[in-house]
This record gives sequence, structure tokens and C-alpha cells, in this order.
Amino acid sequence: MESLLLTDGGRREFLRGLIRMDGYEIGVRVELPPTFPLCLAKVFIDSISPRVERRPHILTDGRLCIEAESDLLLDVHDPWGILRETLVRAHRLLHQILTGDRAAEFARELISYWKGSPRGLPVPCFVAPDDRPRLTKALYFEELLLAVADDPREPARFSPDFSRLPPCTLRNAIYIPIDPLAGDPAFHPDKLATLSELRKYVRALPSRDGRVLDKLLGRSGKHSPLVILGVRRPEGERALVGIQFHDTRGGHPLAHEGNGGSVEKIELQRRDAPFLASRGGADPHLRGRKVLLAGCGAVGGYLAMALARAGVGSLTLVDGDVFELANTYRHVCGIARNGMPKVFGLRQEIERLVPYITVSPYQQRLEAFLHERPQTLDSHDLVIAALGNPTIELELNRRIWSSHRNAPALFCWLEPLGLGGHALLTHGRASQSPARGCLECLYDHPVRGAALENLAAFAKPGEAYTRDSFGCGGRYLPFGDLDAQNTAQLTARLALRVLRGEVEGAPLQSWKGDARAFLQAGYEVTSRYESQTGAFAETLAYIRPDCAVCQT
Amino acid sequence: MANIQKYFEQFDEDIRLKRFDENQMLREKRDAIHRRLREKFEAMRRAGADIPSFETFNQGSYQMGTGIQPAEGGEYDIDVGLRFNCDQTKYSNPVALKQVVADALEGHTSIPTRMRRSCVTVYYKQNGEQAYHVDLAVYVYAHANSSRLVIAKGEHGSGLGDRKWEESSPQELCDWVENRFSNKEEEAQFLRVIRALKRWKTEKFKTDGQNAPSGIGLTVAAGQWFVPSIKRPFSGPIAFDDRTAMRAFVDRMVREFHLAGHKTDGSSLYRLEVRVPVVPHGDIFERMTSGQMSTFRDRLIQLRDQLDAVEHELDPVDACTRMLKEFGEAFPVPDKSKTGAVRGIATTTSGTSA
Ligand SMILES: [Zn+2]
Repeated sequence: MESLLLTDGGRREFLRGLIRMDGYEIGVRVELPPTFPLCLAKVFIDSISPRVERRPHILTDGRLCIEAESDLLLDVHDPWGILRETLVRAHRLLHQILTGDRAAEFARELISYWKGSPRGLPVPCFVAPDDRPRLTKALYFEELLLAVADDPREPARFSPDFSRLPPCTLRNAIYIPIDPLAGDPAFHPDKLATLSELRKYVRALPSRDGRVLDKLLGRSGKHSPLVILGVRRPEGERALVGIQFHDTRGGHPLAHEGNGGSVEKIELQRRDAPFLASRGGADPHLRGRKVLLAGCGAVGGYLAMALARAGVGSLTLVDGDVFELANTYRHVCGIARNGMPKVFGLRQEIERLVPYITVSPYQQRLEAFLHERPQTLDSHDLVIAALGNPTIELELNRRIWSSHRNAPALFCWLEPLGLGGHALLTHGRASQSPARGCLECLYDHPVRGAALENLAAFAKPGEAYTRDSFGCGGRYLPFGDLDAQNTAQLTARLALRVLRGEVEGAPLQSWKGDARAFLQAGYEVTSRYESQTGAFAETLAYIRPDCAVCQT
Repeated sequence: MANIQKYFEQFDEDIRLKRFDENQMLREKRDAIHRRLREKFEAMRRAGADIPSFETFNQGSYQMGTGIQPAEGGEYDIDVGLRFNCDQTKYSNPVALKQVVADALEGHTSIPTRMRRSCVTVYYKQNGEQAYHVDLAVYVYAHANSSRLVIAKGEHGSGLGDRKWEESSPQELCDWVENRFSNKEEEAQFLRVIRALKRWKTEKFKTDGQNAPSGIGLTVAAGQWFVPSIKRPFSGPIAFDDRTAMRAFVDRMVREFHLAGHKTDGSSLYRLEVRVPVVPHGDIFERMTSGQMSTFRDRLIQLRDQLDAVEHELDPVDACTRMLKEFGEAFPVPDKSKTGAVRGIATTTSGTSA
């Protein structure tokens, strides 16, 4: 065991040894980090003899990039086993480095070799890579490159920081898709940063793309030209790196052999929607979908945020109310937007947190909104009502069913005191016409002349569950933030399945909560609550063959 | 409306009588009469009289499940059939056989036995007061080797035309009523509505009981026209709506009346005809006069209108008070305090939020 004096004065113990393999002699140092065995041992390559110039998977400090540790489960009771297997992994990787296709490895790891440019922070990139050369835009503040974007409005929409900047200069940049592995078995990322080598890769473009590129090169401005390379990786997708040419002589350095210039590597941070969505578990295909959300209260707030985070590209918010302090503990906006109309506050909160979404707020009651825009139910992919107002929701239900062209609708509502919540899909796609089953089916008079009851209810109907909040008109139904989240989640999951075309029929979904608080308050539950065994139920049994709305 | 179904059911619980099989008192009275007749006839036969053997069978409302407690001051009324093993040629005068039965039972209770047009009635006391009576209908076979029965009609002093053996199918009628609805909820509602209507007519014809439609008449009419009103929601218990079912049936009866002439004062007379569904297929209300019929119709119309008014009452207290006016004191009226705040029909609480 040797020890190493660290710059901060501490000492770290390590093992040093030699490995002979594939005709090489490799000096290896194995270090146990202080957190071992919660992590793998670190393996450093001190020397390789004979010398190997370009070695993928070995960092500048010599550390070997053994597999990403995040998806490993380590048995901490067997530290020796962990150490032994670390060495096996290191051995395997070294063999691959010394004998394998290094060019492919370099192409795979391109981004990590593009780091360390003197600029510091990577440049935000809103370019979605594809297979054809084309123009894109670069945003400069004076000579500082701020962003690259196919649509120059996107950076401002993406982050409020951009909208606060002074006006930027917009210049053309050229996007060039290249496939370095196709013609160069000795590819290395550094070659892309060498003008002469880069020209070779660009010249290797298919002739049609070459002609397109020649035109583009002629059109790029006088200023230091910027090129975005879409470098094809062995798996087929493209990594994006930037090249800024300086001190150009003649035209664009890539346009003609005689032109010259120096090359600066630009590290790009991808912010384009398909990349972020797929990396974040959102669905890039939902970006084209339009959802109308009526009701931006507790459930509606979480619902809007959930849909935004799932990748839905367009949300229309309808709610006439203003945020009050009473909303603080059960709204996704918390106290942040107190005093603002809910639709505007919620839009701000969504845009603060989620990019690539268009939120259209309408501060008015749904009835008025529908009256002014009768076509709106047709122009959305899905309508969701989280109003907590069955009267208006039943009216919406009837309107939805008044034309077969109208979108499917989802109704969601909460029970008092944590008893549960429900979501009902109606007017969804069925093989022929919209599937039978609607909100009207759920509301019936138990006896003729008696008041309407919601047949899905968990709380006995006819009871007043609202509480008084010291003032006129200030009655509210007691429920907690998690109840609202649960109902929003149930609804959002169903909504996403609807948007993906995965739901047949008109299911009623319910989640069942704990009745203790409800029963302690002296209330009674329905037999539906009692008979539901699991926490979650889905049923079509509620559909009434005599429903006046969906069976005509 | 306040949903008064539970009060309706409570009312029924209070007025209904159990069937023979479930009612020990009824069984005991029936069996005591049976023993008494058997012993008396045996003694008479030993003295040389020729009296055919007989069986008793259950008939009437207790058998059908439409029996109700008598209203305040009223009497229990038990129907028992006596079927003698002979044909009608043995007794050309049916009153003679009824007399044999009446004589045998004389002194069975402290109140004299009476012969009435369709039966022999034995009266019982309870706590020193006349409390109930057993109506014994006397049957013989229509012909030798036939299973069809004829009932003895007539009493002392009846004209010759009124003393007769009349075709009758008491057990078939019971079977018909019992089999109207095979679904047990529908049958339960059917019987509840009949029982309530029987109590209603007792109340409404309290002072002029002889003008009342018979219980069996209401039962047969219901058998023809009653339509259940029951909802089976996808969740929760079955929802009975007895008020709606009764309203529909009453309305149907009202509409089935036809104009039958005019009184001297020019007002219209109406009749309702309800065919008995078994032999002899007569009109079950044939013995009611057109005047009685018209009164019956008027009171049905009042009942229908009252049931409509009940539908529109918001407060169950007010709704039940209306029901009490039609069905008497047995119809429960909840305390104001128990029903809580009055809630609307068209404006109720939703219990939902978002
Ligand atoms: Zn429906």
C-alpha cells in the first residue's frame, strides 16, 4: 500500500501495479475513495507502453471511465468483491480501448472531448439536429454568442432571462450534418477542430447536400462565421457541437481551400424540445396537442402543471377567479401569485418551470367563454373540466355531446375530507361513434322528484359538506393538497392516455382515500365507497342505457 | 322532493300483517276452527247426520301478502276456505250447508256467529272487546270428478236468486296475485302499494265503510295495472320509489273509469270494471253502485293530486304530513329537527370540489 500526498495536505492510500495485456504494459493505480464501498474503486492509468496517442474513456487526469455507477447496485457487505469486480471491469475496458474501434468510441464520447473550451459556460442551443445542411440563427450580444436557435424567438420563450436581455444581434449560422466514421477509421474529436481535417469531413457530404452547403456558405455573413456540426454517432443519432471561426481570410473558411481562419470549439447545451422532452420522460409527440382546461383551482392547477411537464404543447386555461390567500396551501402556485387572476398566475408558473408550451389564459367563467367561442370544443384535442361545479360541468357535457366533431372531455372532482376523487372520460374515440357513457349518466334522481345525486359519490348525498370561512359566500369543501394532487394525477394519467389514443370507451376512474377524518366529522359514506376494495377503481357500469345525453 | 321512501317503508312495516305461515295467531285461530268443526261434525255423524268431510285452506289477503293491521277501532279479518268433499248437487240450497257450519261454530266464541252473503263469520274478543273475525267461505266441487269449486252464496232471507252456488277459483286467484312479479323487489313494491291503498280506503271510507271498494278489488286492479318504479344504480342499493309507482297506478285507475250515466242533479256517474283473471271472470267491483264508484273515483283523484303535491314538497315533514292526510295517523311524520335544513330538489348540495 502506498500513499499519495494530496494538495490539500490530506493523504489518500492507493495500490499501484502493472497490467500486461494485448502487447502493452500498463501502469495502474487503484484508489479507494472515502465513500467506498458505496462506490466503485477509482482506477487511474499512469502509463501505457508502448505509447498510445488517442485513448477514449481515459480522462485527462488518467482516470478510467468504468461504467456509469448510477445503475449499479453494490453489495456493501462484500467490499473485496466490489474491488475485484472493479478491476475486472477496468480490465475489460482497457482491452476495448487498446484493441477496439477507437474511432467509434471517440464519436460516441464526442461531447466530453468538446469540453474545456476557454469560454466557460456552454452555449444554449435550440437547434434540432436533422440530416440536411441548412441555415440556423445565432444570437449575439455585441460579440458574445448567447444562443443558437432554429427559431430565434425560442430562447426568450424558453427562459425569462432571455426576455430581459437588451436587443440581440441575429446572424446566420450554418448547420452541417457530418458522419466522420463513414470515411475515417482514425476519427478523433480533435480533428473536427482542425480546419484542414474538418474540410475533409464536410467534403465527404453526399453531392446534393454539398451543393446546398456551397450556397449556404456563400450567404453566411462577414462576421466570424459559426457552424453547428450534427455529428453522427455510431448509434445513428447526432451530437451537436459548435465551431466559431475567427480571423477569417477570404470567404467562409469552409467555402474554399484558399480561405483561412482559426477555429474555436463551442460547447453547446441542447435545449431543443425533442431532446429535453425525451430526456425528461415527457412525450415529444404531445407537443402538437391542444388541451382546454376549465377550472384552475387546486386540482386544475396541478393538472395543468402535470400536462405541461408531460410535454403537452398547448394549454388553454379558463377560470374567472383570482388567487386568494386561502389557496396558499393547496395550489401548485402556493402564495406566489396571490391577487392575480388564476389563469395568468398559473401561466406564469408554468412558463417559469416548463419550456416549449403555449399557455393561453382566459379570465372568465366557462359558460361565458363557450358562449363567445362556440367552436372551441372542436378546436382542442381534449377538454378537461376541474370546476368543482357539477351544474356547469353537466352543461359542458351536453355541449360536448351536441356535435360529434367535439373533442373528448374529462371531468374530475374531489370528495370531501380525503375520501377520494374521480375522473370520467366522455365522448372519447370508439370504433364508430363516440363511446357511450357521460357525466349525465352519473347524475340521477333516486326517486322521482328527489334531488339529483352523483352515483359515483363516496360521501352520502344530500349532506352539506362545505364549511364556513367567516364570511359571506365563503364556503369551501374541506380537502387537502395531497387529495387535490391525487385527483389531478389520476386525471392527468387518463388525459395523456386519451391524447395518445390509448383509451377506448368512457371509463369512470375513482381513487379511494382514508375515511377516518370524514367519519370522525360525523358523516356517512356511500355503499360504493364501502364496496370498493382497492384504492383505485375503473368502471363502465355507470353508463345508463336511458341517458338523455349520450344515448340519443 | 324530500325523499320520503323510508317513511313509506316504515309505514308499511307498521301496517302490514304477516302471511299465515309466519303468523302464529292466525294459524292458531284457523286450526281451532278446524278442530271445532271436525269434532262437531263427527258428533253429528254419530247422531246419524250425513256431513261430508272437509279441508281448510288459506285464502284472501293473508295468503296473498296484502293483509294489513286494522286501523284504530277496526277489526282483524281472517279469510279461511272450507272445501267440502261433495259436489253441488248434494246441497241444492247452499245456505243449508252454511247453516251447518254456522251451527257447528255457535258458542265457539262468546259472540254469536253470523252468516253473511259470501261467508260464515266467527267473532273473537280480545281484552273483553270484539277484536277480530274469521270469514269462512264454504266451497263444494262443481261436479263429481271435477276439481273446480263453487262457493256458497246467500243468507237467511235471501231471495231464491241470491242463494246459489257460484263458480269461484280462490286458490287460482291467490296464485295469480302471488305470481304477478317474479322479481322479489318488484313484488315487494307491488304488495307495499296494495297494503297502503287498503289502509287508504279504510281511512277515506271510515264513516261510510259499506261504500268502500274491496281490498281484493284494489288487489286485482293492481295485478292488472301496477307498474313497479325501481331504480338500480350502478353503485349503491336498489332505489324504490313507491310514491311514483302508486301515483302511476292510481292515475291508471282513474283513467280506466268510464262514464256510466248521470245523477238526477246532472253530475256524471262513473264505473270502473276490473275483470277477475280467473273463473268466473266477473267484474270484481260489480256489487258497487255507480254512486259508490263515482265517490271512489273522486277520492282516487284526490289521492293522485295529493301524491303529486308530495312530489313537489321540499321538506320531508310537509311531504309526510300530506301522506298522513291520505293514509292516516300510521304514516310517520319526522320531527322537524331530525330532517335538518330544508334542501331543494332542483338546488341541492353537490359534495364535490376541485
Ligand atoms: Zn350519458
